[in-house]
Amino acid sequence: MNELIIETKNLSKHYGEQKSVDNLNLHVKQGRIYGLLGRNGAGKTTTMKMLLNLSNPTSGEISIFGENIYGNEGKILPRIGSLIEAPGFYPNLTGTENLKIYALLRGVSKRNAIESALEVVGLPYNDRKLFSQYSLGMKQRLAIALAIMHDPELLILDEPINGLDPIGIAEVRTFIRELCEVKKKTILISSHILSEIALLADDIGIIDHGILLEEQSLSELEDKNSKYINFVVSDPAQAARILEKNFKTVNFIVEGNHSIRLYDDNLSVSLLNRTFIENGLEVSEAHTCEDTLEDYFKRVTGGEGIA
Amino acid sequence: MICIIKTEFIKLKRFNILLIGMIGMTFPAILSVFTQTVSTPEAQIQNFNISAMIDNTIWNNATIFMPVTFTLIGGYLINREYTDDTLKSIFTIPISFQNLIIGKLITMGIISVLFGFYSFLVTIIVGLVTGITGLSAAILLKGLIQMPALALCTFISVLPIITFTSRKRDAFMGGVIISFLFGYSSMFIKNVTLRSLYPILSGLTVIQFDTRIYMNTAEPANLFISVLTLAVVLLLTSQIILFTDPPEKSIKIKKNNIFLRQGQKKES
Repeated sequence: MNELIIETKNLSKHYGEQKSVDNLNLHVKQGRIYGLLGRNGAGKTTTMKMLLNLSNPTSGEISIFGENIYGNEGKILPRIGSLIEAPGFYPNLTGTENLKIYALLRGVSKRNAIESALEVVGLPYNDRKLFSQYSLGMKQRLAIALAIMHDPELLILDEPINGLDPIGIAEVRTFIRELCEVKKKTILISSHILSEIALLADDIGIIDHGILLEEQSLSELEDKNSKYINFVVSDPAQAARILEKNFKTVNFIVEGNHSIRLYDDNLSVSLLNRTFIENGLEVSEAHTCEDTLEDYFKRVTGGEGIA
Repeated sequence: MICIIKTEFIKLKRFNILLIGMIGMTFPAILSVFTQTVSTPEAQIQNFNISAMIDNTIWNNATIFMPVTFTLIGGYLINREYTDDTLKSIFTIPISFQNLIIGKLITMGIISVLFGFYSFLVTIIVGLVTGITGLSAAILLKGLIQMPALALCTFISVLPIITFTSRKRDAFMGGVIISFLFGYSSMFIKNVTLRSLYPILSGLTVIQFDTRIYMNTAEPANLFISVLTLAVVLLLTSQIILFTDPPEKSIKIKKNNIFLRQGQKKES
């Protein structure tokens, strides 16, 4: 199951001087959920638009299902379901009528395809409510129904939980997981919400300022998260000197007036504690900690956190 | 293509712009009776019967109402794909922008013919209500053929305007103004060759409408040149469609409720 469904090589999109996506090498494996994580404006939507042939790259290559997207759009795109940015539908029509249009255009032959898709997202079939009267959450659900209606092998979903309430988010998360685990779909999902990606994705790509900073499986990322020993001591400067002199390590950070973080987790906490005390330091706390995924995101993007 | 046309008709459901079209197609008949009533005796059409009223309505339709109405509705049908943000879903089917436009123009052509029928019906009703006499089967048949045929020819005349303005969001309103000037200007063309070459008037010639009374000229226009003119207009339209870029370059990116054009810097 390691066959690549999406592969990009040095994919770039420049708007004048601005590099919206820069030399992106994306690898989405078959039957897995790939979470593209990044802040607003990081280049997630632009990347997805290029994958769907909605936007021409400045340079680079895109291969989907093993074929170059350019020149093979007619073969590749019908096998993809997508949701890009805000849901776009005809406001004078009901949800069912809107889906009927796309079912006709796609040549969907399955008789109850519209009904099934609406059922999956929890929207009523043949309801009289017009799209213009839908709430943001209902609009988002309808957009997801459109993406899955023709039973595609690959789903490209740009911020699919936008506008959903907490129950809706949980429902969408469950059926996205089901689509992957039960129906063996490959899913590329983007979000700026780290916790969502952490709950959903098997593989994670961190994108910032158009550059893919990391591409790892979730388990690999979790393993990479730094473990450290945090000491709360009376004099962190003195503690730092002891670490350098006695333990020959500089892998630590002094945090505030009383805290020191030691990233060398091979050292024994009890030995360190005893040495600090023997050197006249008061140690009020000593415990082993681990960076969260958010800490990791902060570290790799070199900036602020993410929601 | 049939699927695209089919879906275009579904999209028209509860679509208010059609009501505007119906109002637009009601005016020419009313205007015919109104101008006849308020005109000075010298300017009035002698023996203003149903036949004269149909002719008058055809003239009003061709020179003012049909070009404007068809460009407005045709342009609106295309423009809504930009405003409703549905192009991204259509392109990923994939359906090309060219095929979408062709489907929409064929749909609009059918709607135009239907508006022609509607205008004919309204003309007869207004004529009967206002007590205008002279209704006969021959006149009914002539009007029934001429009005929808005129609608189709007028639609063909404005096709390049609709197609050209389809390339950019909200550009269709400019097209409506151009169509109005295009139709209105036709009233001042007296030269027989120009009358055959001017697309709006070509349509009148094709439907065998006698323009002499309205244009105060003795010579009828040339049917062959008129048909050729409309064929050239169709060819021109096909070229505009063929060389129309997908609207990627004109799509605006909305971030944080601010529309950014390509090249503008986005804040991260």
